[in-house]
Amino acid sequence: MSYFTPRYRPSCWVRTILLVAYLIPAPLIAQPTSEFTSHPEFRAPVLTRREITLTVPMPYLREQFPAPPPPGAYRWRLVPNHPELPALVIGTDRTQVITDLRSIPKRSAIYLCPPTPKDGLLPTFDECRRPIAGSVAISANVLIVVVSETSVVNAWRRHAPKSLWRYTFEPMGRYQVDELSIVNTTGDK
Amino acid sequence: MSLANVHAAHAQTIRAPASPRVWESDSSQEHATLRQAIAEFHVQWNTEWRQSEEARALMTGPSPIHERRLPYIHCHAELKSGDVFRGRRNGTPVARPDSQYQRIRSAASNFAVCPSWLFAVTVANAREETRYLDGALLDARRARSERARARLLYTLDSAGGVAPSDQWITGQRVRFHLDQRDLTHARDAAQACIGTRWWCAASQGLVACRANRFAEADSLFSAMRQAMPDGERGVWEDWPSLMRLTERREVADGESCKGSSEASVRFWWLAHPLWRDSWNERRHEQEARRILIKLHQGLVQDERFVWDARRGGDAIAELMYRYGWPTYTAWGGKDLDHSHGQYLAISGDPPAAPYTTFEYAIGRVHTTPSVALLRHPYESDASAWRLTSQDSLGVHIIEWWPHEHFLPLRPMADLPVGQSVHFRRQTQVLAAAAVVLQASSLRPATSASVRAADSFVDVLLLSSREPGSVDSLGQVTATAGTVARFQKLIASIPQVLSLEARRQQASCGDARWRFGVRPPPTLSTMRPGEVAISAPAILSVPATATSATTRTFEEPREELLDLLHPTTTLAAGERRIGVYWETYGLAASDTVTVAIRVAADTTLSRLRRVGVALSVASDPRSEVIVQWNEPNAAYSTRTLVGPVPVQLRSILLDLSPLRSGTYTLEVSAHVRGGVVVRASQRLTLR
Repeated sequence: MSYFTPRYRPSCWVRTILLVAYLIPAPLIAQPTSEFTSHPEFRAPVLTRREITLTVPMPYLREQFPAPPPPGAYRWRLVPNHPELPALVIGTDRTQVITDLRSIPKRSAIYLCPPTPKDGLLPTFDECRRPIAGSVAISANVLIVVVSETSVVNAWRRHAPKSLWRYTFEPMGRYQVDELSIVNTTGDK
Repeated sequence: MSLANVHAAHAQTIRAPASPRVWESDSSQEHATLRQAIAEFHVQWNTEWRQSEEARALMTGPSPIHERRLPYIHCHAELKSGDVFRGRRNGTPVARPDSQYQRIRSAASNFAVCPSWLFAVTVANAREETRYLDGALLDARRARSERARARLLYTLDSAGGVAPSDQWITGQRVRFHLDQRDLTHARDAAQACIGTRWWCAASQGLVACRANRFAEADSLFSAMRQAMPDGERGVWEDWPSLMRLTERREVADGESCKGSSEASVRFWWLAHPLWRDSWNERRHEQEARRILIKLHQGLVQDERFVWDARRGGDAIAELMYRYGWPTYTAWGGKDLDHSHGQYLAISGDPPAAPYTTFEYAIGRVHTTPSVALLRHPYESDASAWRLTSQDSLGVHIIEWWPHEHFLPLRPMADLPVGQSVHFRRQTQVLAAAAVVLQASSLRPATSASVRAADSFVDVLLLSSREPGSVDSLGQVTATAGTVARFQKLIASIPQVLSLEARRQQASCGDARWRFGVRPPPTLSTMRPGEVAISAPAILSVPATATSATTRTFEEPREELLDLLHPTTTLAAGERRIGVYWETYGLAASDTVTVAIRVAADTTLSRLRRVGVALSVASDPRSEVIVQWNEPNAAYSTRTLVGPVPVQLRSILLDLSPLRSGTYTLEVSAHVRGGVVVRASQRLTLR
C-alpha cells in the first residue's frame, strides 16, 4: 500500500460538492434514493430564529421487530459540522433502563456537551451533563426534538453549520451514523 | 528495542485519557454501561473511517476502479449462482462475475458479501488491515483513533481489575489492546483471566498468536481445546465449513459428526502449511479467527461491520471464518448506504450499513485439503496441494479464488513441480527427487544487500505417514535458482513427501512441493521368480556435453541420479536426455528384450486421420523407440547380484525429431514366458 499525503485540501464546502457529484450516479437499484431519504427519520434538521428542530430515528420501531426491543439505554448524539459548536445529546441517564420505547420522551432530556477538544475526540456521554431547554416528542415512529435554549440557538445562528452528524446508540452496542444537511431558515447569512 | 516494547512504550504515551470512567462495581447494569462505552468508541472510529474513505474518494475522483467495485458493494443476494449483477452507470454496464468470486449470503436476510482480491494495486494512505485495524484510516486519523481507544481501554482495564472472572470483559480487553497493537497489555489482560479455563487459554493463545510466539500459541490452543466442553468443541471445530458446500455434504455423509476428532486431526494434518515448523500456522489462524468472531459477535456491531445475525451478521462471520479480516474495505458512500438499505427493505430486511467491498491483497495461500485429498492423501499429486495459482513467471493469476485462504506470516508459494522416482532396495525404497528452487517462489528481498546475504536456501525433505508423525529425510543448503536433489531411503509404506525450502531471512519467503507416494514393494517382499521394473528417471544432459560426458550415460550406476532432471518438462531446445531405470528379478544371463519408447499423448481427430492417410497432413504423433535384446555387448547393463538381482540401465536419448507436446516415456522388458513388465513417466516438451 502506498502512503499518500495530499498537499492541497479543498474546503469542506468544495469537498461536499465534489463528493455529491461523485456519488450521485452511484445507486444501482431500481428505486431512486430520494424515496428512501424522504423517510421521516431522514428529515433535515431545521434552524429557525428561535429553535432548532431535529428528527432522530427509533430504529427498533422502524424495523418492526416482532420481539420487544432490547431494554437498555437509548441515546442520540448530534454533532454539528463546525468546530465552534458543541455536540448535543438526547437520552436518559445511563443508570436508567428503557423497556418501552414510547416512554423515551418522558424519560429523556437534552444535554449540551463541552466544546470538542482539540484532539478531536467526541465527548463521551458522561461528559455531556448540562441540561438545556427543549422538548422531546414522539411522532410516526421518530422522535422530534426541539432545542429552544437561546444560547445554543444563537450559537448555531452565528456559525450557521451546513450539516451535522447524527449518532444513534441502542442497547447491546448497536449504533447508526448519519450525516444530514441543515435547513437554515433564519436568513442570517 | 523489541517490537512489543515499542508498542508498549507507544501505548504508554497515549494512556492518559482526559476524562476516564473508572469502573466501580460489577453488575449487569455496569455491563450495559461498558457496552455503551465500547459503542462510543466504535462511533468515533466509524466517523474517522468514513471521513478517511470520503477523502480517498476525493483524492482519486471517479475512476474505473470505483466502477468495478460497485457491484461488489451491492452484492445482491437474490441472483442465482453463476448470474452476474448487471446495472448501468453512465450508460456502461457494470457486472460482477460470480463465477470468480463466491458470494456469501446471510441465512436471515438478503444481505450478502462479495469478497474479492484487491481491486487496486495501492489504496491511498491505507495499510494492510488484516494485521492493523487502524490501517483503514488515513494517517492523520490513526492517532485520534488510538487516543479514543486508550480512553476506552482505561475503562475496560478498570472493569477487568474488579471482575477478572468476567470472560466477556477479559475478551474485550484483549481485543482492544491487540487493536491498539499493545501486546504487553494484551498479554497482561489475558494472563489476569481467572474465569472459564478454556476461554482464558483462548485469550492467551490469541495474544501469543498475534505476537508471533507460535510455539506458545500452539500449547495454549491445545489447552483451550482440551478444556473446552464437548458441546462447545463440536461447534468450535467446524472445519468442514472451510470446504466447498458440495464437499461439505460429502464429509457429512462420510463422517459421523462434523467435529469428529479423528477427521479433524486428519484435516489439520493435511492443512499444515510447512511440516518443518512444529506449529500449524493455518490452524492458529483459524483459532484466532474463531476467537475474534466470538468477541465481535458479542457486541452486535463493531467499528464498521454488523454482527447481528438478523442484519446479515452471519454472512460477515462466515467471511471472517473463511478468509479472515480483509486487507481493505471500500465504502460506497452514504447515498449508496441509503439506496442499498432500501433494497433490503423491499424484502423486509433491516439495513446493515455501511456497505463495502471486502478486498484481500494477493499473497494469501490455500492450504486446507479437498475431500479427495482428505480421503486419499497418498495418491495425491502436487496439484492437490497447490497453495496459490501463479503463472510460469510467478505472477499471481487473478482469476483464482479458493474457498478459503489465509495470510501467512512469511510469504509462501509453490515450488515448481519437480521429478520424483522410486527404486526398490532390500528392505527399503530409494526415493530420488529433484526440484528447481525457483527464485520467484522464494520471494527474494528487494534490497540488493539483503539479497546477497540471503542467497542461501535451507531445503528439507520431510515425510509424513499420519497426523503427528513427520520424519526429516534430508537437508541441503542451496542457492535460489539452483536445483535441489535428494536420494533417501524411505519405508515402503504410503506417505506424503514434502520438500520445503526456506530462505534464511525473516523478510523472505518459504516454498514447498508436496505430493503423496505409494512406494513400490521392497526386494525382500518379492516372490521367487517375480520380475519388476522401476519408473524411468529423466536425467539432465548439459547442453555443452562432450562425448566423454555422454559416455557416462552408457555406464549405468546409481550415481547417475545426481543428474536427475528437476522437472519432467523439457525446455525448448532441450532435446537430449538421459534415462535411468532398474529391473528386479532378472539375472545377467537372462534373455530379455528391452525397449524404451517415447510416444505422444495426442489423440488425432477424424479429419486429421484422413489427412494423414492421404498424406496431406502431418502426423503429430511421432515417437522414438529404442529396442534391443540382451545379453548384448552393445548395451551395457550392470547387474547387482543378490537374492533378487537388480539390473541398472541407462541410455542417452535424442528427442529432437519430436514436436512440442506431452508424451509418455515408457520402459519395458519382455522376459521368458511372455512376461512383460513396463513402467512409464509423463514427459512434456516445450
